[in-house]
Amino acid sequence: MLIEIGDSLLMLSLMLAVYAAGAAGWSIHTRDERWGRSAQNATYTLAGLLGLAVAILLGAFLSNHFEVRYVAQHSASDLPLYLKMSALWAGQEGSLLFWGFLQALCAAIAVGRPPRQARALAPWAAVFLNLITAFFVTTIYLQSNPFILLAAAPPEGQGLNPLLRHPGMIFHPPALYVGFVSLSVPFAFTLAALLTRRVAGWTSALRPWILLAWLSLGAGLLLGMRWAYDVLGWGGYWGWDPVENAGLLPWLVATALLHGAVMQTEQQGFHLWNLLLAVAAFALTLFGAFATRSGAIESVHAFADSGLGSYFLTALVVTLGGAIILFIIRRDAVREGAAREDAPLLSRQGSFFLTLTLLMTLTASVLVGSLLPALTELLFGRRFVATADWFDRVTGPQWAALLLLMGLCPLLGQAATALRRLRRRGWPLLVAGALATVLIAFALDLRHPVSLVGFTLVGMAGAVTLAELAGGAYHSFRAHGLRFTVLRQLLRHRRRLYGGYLVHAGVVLMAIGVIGTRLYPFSQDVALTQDRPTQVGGYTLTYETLRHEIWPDHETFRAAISVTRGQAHAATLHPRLERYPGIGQNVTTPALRYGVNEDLYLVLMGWNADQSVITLRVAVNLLINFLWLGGATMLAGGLLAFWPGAEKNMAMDQ
Amino acid sequence: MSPGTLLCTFAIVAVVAAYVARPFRRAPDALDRAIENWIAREAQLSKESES
Repeated sequence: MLIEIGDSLLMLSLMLAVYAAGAAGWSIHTRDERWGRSAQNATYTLAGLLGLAVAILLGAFLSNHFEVRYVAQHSASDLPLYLKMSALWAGQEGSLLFWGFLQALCAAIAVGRPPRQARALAPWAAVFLNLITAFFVTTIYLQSNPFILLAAAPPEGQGLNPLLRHPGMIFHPPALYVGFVSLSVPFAFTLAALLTRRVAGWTSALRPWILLAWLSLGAGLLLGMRWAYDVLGWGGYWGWDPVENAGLLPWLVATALLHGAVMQTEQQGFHLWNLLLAVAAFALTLFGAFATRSGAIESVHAFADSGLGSYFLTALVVTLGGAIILFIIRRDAVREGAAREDAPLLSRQGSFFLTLTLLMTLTASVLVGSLLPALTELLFGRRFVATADWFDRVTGPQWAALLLLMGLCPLLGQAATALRRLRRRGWPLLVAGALATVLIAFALDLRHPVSLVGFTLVGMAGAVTLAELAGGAYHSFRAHGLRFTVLRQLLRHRRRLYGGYLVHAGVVLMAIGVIGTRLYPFSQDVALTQDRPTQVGGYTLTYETLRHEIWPDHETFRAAISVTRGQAHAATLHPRLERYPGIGQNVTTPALRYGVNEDLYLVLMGWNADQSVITLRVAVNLLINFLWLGGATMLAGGLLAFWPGAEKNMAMDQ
Repeated sequence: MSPGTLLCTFAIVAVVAAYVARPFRRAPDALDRAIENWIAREAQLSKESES
């Protein structure tokens, strides 16, 4: 019965979403507040109904209701509780329902508590946010309904895809979905601003939503990278896969939008930029959904083609077409708002402008690379695939330029004093940072010419970021001595500023990890004979045993490899290979020896008939832990800036 | 669809409709005031016609 109610809830949600959008529009037309309040109530109820639908589906997973097709396809009775919960979004239908619920929840919060400076735009924003929810519920109900019942319930479910049996999968998809839905708020307010001709003075009010989107997408991407590193067994963490790129694209635009919002808060213009970026960010989330769910783009991460592609493509065309028409109709208002955007390049505004431009060229590069196979096949009948090397070569110089800007930007003030500030404060810091990092790189024997350029930029950006972070604490120490309360007050009052610098510090650390892994890669397939030590990648590996274990739904082959570095025994690692005969899938689980400088990464590839020889893929990932440390630092910085109360202290940051 | 499902769905629809239509509901005190005003007006009119 509950499953049938779930189905009815979808139908009811669809009607309610259409009503909410219509009632909000009617309240604007008639200026009758009662319709506005009714639309608001409908928006809250919509979130509640879709939440109830998600709860019913979750209940079906937890109580093994295999008569529900979606549950039978993605769960089994012996699945641990946390995996049954994550199975909710393991497939197309459940993940879309969850996305729709988050979209409705986001609309309810944005409509219920609009930012003070953007309150006048809230009724129109309510129309657009409810239309977006209506789109999701329509798509779910017509094409991706998770409440479809089987004619006869199977005794057991098919189980969860083994690749998704990782703790990261509990948080990775929800984090991405929170990011996607958060970007719908700036988009809805942008359209509202264009319609009401109020194009200036509100983007900064939506900063918490933009920051939430940036933070969630960042967390989702980082978890996805860790999942790829731990589970996929190819030794890397980022393969420039179109689906990975689908998450990266809105994150890049959200980064640009955050910087644009800072400029707008400081009364430095950037209105037009922000309007365009808000539309682009939301359009890219739709593009991501299209890429993942249409089957048009080949990827290990993509869902199977289920006819959803046409829905998302239509939504993308309507979104972009509607926004372009609105921009054309309201060009006078947009031009008025953009009137203050003249500034020399050698200034804070100028460096922000360059940052935004670079982030956009990066977005365009990644988008072109992702679409290249499909586009070239469509236009020329031959597929040209942009490889990871293509992406590295095209985006590498742009990332480097961004790093340089990150070093320069905090040193520049207003245009009139920029050169003087740079000469007095900047050069010694930049030179010292660059020299120190390059010397450390030489000492560690890292002498690849491109990496030295990278380390120079890392040193410059790192030195400036550290100086900015430590500067406030130093002045406080000089004025008040070492007093914890003063330092705490300083941190509380400048939370946004320090959050931003912490993010920059995270980017610097991540850059070190990227330089190490991309420019000093080591990966080799080796055959190891039992009990015969073999030298590879600076380690001595000895194959000891290969154990065979049988589980209810799979069998495991687990090798024991003794690892020696120099004369000392470093570890015994157990790479394994799991075979799932039921679904015809082999999963390799790598074994890792973590180190500060490098990880040793072993993947079991195969063995001979008498198991006396095994084949291993051995990868040594140099400086990779800087990548994870940098990612965590970046998210901590974002969280510090996002923490409630940071907004109140906004004025003190300027 | 079973009768239980139908009943539950109707109950949900009723609750949702009541909540969504709430802003259009006339407050009870406003209704009382409207009746009192009407009585007062009628009384005034009848007094005027008598005089």
